Amino acid sequence: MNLSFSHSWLKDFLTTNANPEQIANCLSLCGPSVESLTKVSHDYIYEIEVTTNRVDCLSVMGIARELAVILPQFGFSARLKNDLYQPSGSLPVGKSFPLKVIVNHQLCPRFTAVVIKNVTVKPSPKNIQSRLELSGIRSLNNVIDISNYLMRAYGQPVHVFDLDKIKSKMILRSSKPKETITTLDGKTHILPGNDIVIEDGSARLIDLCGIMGGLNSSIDHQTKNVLLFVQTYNPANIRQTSMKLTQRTEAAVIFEKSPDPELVMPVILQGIEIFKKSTGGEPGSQIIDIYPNPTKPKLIFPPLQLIKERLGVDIPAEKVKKILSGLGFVNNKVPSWRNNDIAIPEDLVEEVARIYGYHNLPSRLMAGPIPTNYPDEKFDLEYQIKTLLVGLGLTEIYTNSLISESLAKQSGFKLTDHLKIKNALSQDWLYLRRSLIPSHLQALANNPQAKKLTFFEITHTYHPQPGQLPQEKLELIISTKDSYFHLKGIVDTLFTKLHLPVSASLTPATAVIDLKPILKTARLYPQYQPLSSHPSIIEDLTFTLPEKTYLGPVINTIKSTHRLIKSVKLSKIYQQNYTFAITYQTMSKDLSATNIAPIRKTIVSLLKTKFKAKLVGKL
Amino acid sequence: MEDKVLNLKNQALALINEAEDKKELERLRIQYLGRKGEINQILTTIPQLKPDAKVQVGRLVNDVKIAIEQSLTARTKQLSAAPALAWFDPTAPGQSLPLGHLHLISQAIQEISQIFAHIGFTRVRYPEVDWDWYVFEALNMPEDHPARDEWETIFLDVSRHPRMGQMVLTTHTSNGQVREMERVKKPPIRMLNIGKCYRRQQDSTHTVMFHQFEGLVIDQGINIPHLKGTLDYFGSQFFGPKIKSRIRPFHFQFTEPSFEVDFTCTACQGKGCRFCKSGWVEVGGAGMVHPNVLKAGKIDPKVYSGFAFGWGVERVLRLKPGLNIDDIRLLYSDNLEFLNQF
Repeated sequence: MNLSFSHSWLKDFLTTNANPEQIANCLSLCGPSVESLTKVSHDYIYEIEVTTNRVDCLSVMGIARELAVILPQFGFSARLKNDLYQPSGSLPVGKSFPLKVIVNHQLCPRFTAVVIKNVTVKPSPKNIQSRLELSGIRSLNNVIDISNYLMRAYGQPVHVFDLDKIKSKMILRSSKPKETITTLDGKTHILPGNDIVIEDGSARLIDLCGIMGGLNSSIDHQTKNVLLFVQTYNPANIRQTSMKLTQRTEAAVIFEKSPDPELVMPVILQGIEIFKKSTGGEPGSQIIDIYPNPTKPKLIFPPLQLIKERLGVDIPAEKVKKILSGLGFVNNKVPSWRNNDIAIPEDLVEEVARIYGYHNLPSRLMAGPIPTNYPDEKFDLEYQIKTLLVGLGLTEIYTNSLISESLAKQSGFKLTDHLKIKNALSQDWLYLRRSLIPSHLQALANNPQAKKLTFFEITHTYHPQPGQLPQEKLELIISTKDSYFHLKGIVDTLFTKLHLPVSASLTPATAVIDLKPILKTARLYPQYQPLSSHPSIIEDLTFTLPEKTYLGPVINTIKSTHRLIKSVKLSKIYQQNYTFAITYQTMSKDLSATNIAPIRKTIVSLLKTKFKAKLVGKL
Repeated sequence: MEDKVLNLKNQALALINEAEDKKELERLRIQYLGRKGEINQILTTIPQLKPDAKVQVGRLVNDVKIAIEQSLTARTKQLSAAPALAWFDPTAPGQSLPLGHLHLISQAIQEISQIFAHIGFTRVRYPEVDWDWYVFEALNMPEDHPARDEWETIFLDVSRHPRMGQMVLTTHTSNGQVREMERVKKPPIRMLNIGKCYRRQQDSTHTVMFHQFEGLVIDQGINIPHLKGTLDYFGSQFFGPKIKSRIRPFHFQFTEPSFEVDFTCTACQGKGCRFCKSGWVEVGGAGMVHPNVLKAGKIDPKVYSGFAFGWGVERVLRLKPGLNIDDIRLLYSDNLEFLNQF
């Protein structure tokens, strides 16, 4: 959560000779990060990012405490003042609390409230107004402003009710599903159930606890008697309610992180003081404090050895103690405001290390043994395939793994056999694709001006397996607007380079290759062929083939006719006439016409029988 | 006498090499090798010599004759070779050959892999579709923990697994951490996991599908200086020799301490500019592996410690000098004007 407040407010809690720029810089290096520092007339505004584990820093006082420890590390003087945890002020005596209170302790670990009587609702004093405004909080009136002021100053959300609107009792309980409440922003909510609510004597809900007060019990210009109300709540309930109703108020965001219950009493006492000064009101009752299970302090001992190991630096025990006590760790106890954040010795390592300064630690590479337990992958070969294809003129593209329903339907797999997304951001990204072809055809179509465009991509397709994670199949796709002749040429070249027979799923515009088996068997170099000292003979034979004859089997038939045939290439096509260039080679003797003639005859008769091919010309 | 012969040879060879055309060569052939030529003239004087001198001079004259013949042949060949072009244009454009394009992401992944391979990291690949257990729970984030809000997780529409939880698209390559611990079992571990991640956000600096790379080092005595050293090493290799790293306090559930990592701004070399403001640019997160994560991977946190970092490939690409890509959605588009630049 981001927190804003002014430098002048910070000075209420911190005496220092550091200026705002220095404060911002030092804080960011050792504590919460200052996102921005803005100068405004005679003041500055800090905007600070507080991480979820530091609820104690969601306040001006919390940040001041950090700075009191951090700034001296940089040579500045700094002292925390007006620390609310140092008790001062006395509990008001007087009439007992006027309402009957029934509290569910599971939902509300600490319930405190006090009556402030005879308030005059009017605008807040100027300094409170300006502090709130500079912190991004709207100033409304002196009563409501006090609750926001206390929240920002101490990190404890506070609520104020118009006491006279509450009928006889307050029952703090769990809501039932479908109960309704209209909050003070005018919105009416239908509650999901298990929300923390307060019901009064007239059986209406007067508060959506920890999130927002009810409209029916809210402060207005006629309010004379106020109920000042400070609690802590079960963080899980607060989080659930605020998420389900999408009411992410500042109070909710603080409560779900478990603020310190020990802060409640000092805050309500401070509240009383501000009420006196700002509204003319006076305490009208004793403070009711229902706190059956006070938090017991946790013990934690500074792990000196662990600190030394993790920091790589021998910090003297004295310095460790000084840092920790400045942060509130005194007598080996975790301060109450860090109760949820500090549990294990490593947490103290972090406290010492960050205050000492990460920038003060050495930097060195690992010198230990290097692991050699490698997984069964061939990343280098994948990259080589990519660079080969790039060398042949292809453009690599990364298309989305998530596709629309229409692309999924074009894949050749049933729509229902695709893994579907439950909370898709858009209908375009609804299914995990099982085929790369529709995405690529779309990508090609989106570039109408590039007539010979050829794309490629190496990525996964996702195939559901009941009860298990899907199979993530690594595939290479080559897709083109150029001819099939061109596409096949690329495929043939690729497999030649890998020294493998062609193994691909082919359509006129796409070639899809299942990569895992290829990566396993591909070779970077073939079986070496000793050079032949006998010249080879290359001869052309032209055949007329019937329409719709598959060329692959024809070429294979010619090649397998005789072992003297080293290779067969299709060299020319003219209408239905196909010219094959046949290379004859032997290792042992020179070839002559006598060797070749019978082979030629066999080829002609085989092709005639199997494919009804007619030789063009004479033998 | 021998001097005379040698002078003849040198003279003949010099004239032959200077000959501009075949006519001249023919004239020289006749002059030196003709019936009445200089060689034959010398041969006629040989009978007048002493017997020893006869043999010697005879041999020499023969050698000279051969030398002149060879020179004539060679020079004839030279002059017959492809005639020098009177004029040719070196500025004419060349043949348009196939020019393919390797995607920026592939280039970045390759570079990152090489950098870490040099310091003994093992590159791995782990599922993009994974169980909640590996993506969050094993990383010290139980269900309903507010920390999970940080990542806008995409869920699959399939029923929960009794032990492993929901099936999700991994939001980070950190799901590889415990998987790697299960694979290797006993440290040392130096993992580099690079893969696709998914989050429910799409704008000029976020795409639903993106890439991350994750480093994980586990061994005895691994500490914060080791992390700093590794970050400094990566920075100097990937961004440039003057680039340093900086770590600041942060919070992740799966690391303790946790850090935010900055690198010196490559645009202004750390002086401060419009892009970085402070001279530093934030690149991603890192931290010392939380003991609960080691335990989830069945590695004893009392014996071993480790660090981890996980950053967006697109993020570090944007900080490469000269590559300030304004809209990362272009990386996952079919826009040729973009793709063909690389």
